[in-house]
Amino acid sequence: MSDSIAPSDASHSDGDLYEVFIQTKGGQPFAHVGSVHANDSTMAIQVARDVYTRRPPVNGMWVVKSDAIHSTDSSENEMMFSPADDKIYRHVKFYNIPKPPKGDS
Amino acid sequence: MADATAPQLLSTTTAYGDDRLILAQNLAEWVGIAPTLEEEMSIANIALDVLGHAKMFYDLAAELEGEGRTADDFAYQRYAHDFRCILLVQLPKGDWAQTIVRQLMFAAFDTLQADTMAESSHEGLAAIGAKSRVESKYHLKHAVIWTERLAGGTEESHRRMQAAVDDLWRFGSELFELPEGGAKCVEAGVLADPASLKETWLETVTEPLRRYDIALPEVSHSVTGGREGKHSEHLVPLLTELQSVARAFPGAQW
Repeated sequence: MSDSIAPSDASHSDGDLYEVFIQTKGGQPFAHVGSVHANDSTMAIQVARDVYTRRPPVNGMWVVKSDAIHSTDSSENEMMFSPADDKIYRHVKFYNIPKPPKGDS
Repeated sequence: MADATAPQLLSTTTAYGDDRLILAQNLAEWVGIAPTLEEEMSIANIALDVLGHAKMFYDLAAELEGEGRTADDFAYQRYAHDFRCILLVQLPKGDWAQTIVRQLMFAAFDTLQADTMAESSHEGLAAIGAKSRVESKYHLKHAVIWTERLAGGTEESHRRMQAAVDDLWRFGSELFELPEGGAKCVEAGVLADPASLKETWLETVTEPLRRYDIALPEVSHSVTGGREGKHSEHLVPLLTELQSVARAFPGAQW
């Protein structure tokens, strides 16, 4: 039984589950703020506006059907995401690039 | 110029405040029983916007009256026979289709009126128009989204939409009836004649209905009277409940 961090089950009689992402300011990343149920994307946007955007400043909003989002399984985090910090030979700065000899065109 | 029309503006802004106070109260009836959890937020949000508009009109009315009354006094200390709201807003919320049809009719008018009000030479009215038009525009968008989905949805939702239009259409003409004093305000150039909005209103409201085969009823007799204080049987019970706490504890502060 895996400890999934995927968006929760999308099947629901009140329509499809949509994940909601909000951009606070132009050029900034969109941040996940939660989810809504809706029968189509227009309604999803309308209800997400009422549920999530009444207080914070908002420059843009995405709604994405939850089942369009594919996520990793947190039980595999060690395998997938162990940082390679201890493998110094994989870092660009590990190698000294010698200066080219003078006279080369 | 604005001074000469102060009493007419007072009765006009009071009536517009009344429309919105009563509509907000009826919209709030959905809290706890809206069709979806998301619509709980939407309808409550819309009700609060409308209540905010009511307060703006009452604040202006209180200022024009200049007797130290507040918006609270206008909302909570007047009796039904003093109110001048249209009949459409007094009707009980009905089913979701009836609420949506009322929203479609009211918000379409409100958006148009707020746009003209924002250009008014009267500073107070212009401020209300500028603030409320953005919110009313959203109310209309919400109403059209739902109108499309109900009218174009299942056989049942279509039937309920048709029934709602059949019930409510006759209350539409009162939207264009000026409150007492309104005609003088139009004459003085501080208020747009609502009759000038009728054609656009009709097109805005009927377009989504037409698209999904909702027929407009033949109206043999428009139902009016609210602007003269001849109210429906729904207003007294509504105000009794709305005003009960304020009247039970006069002057209370918290």
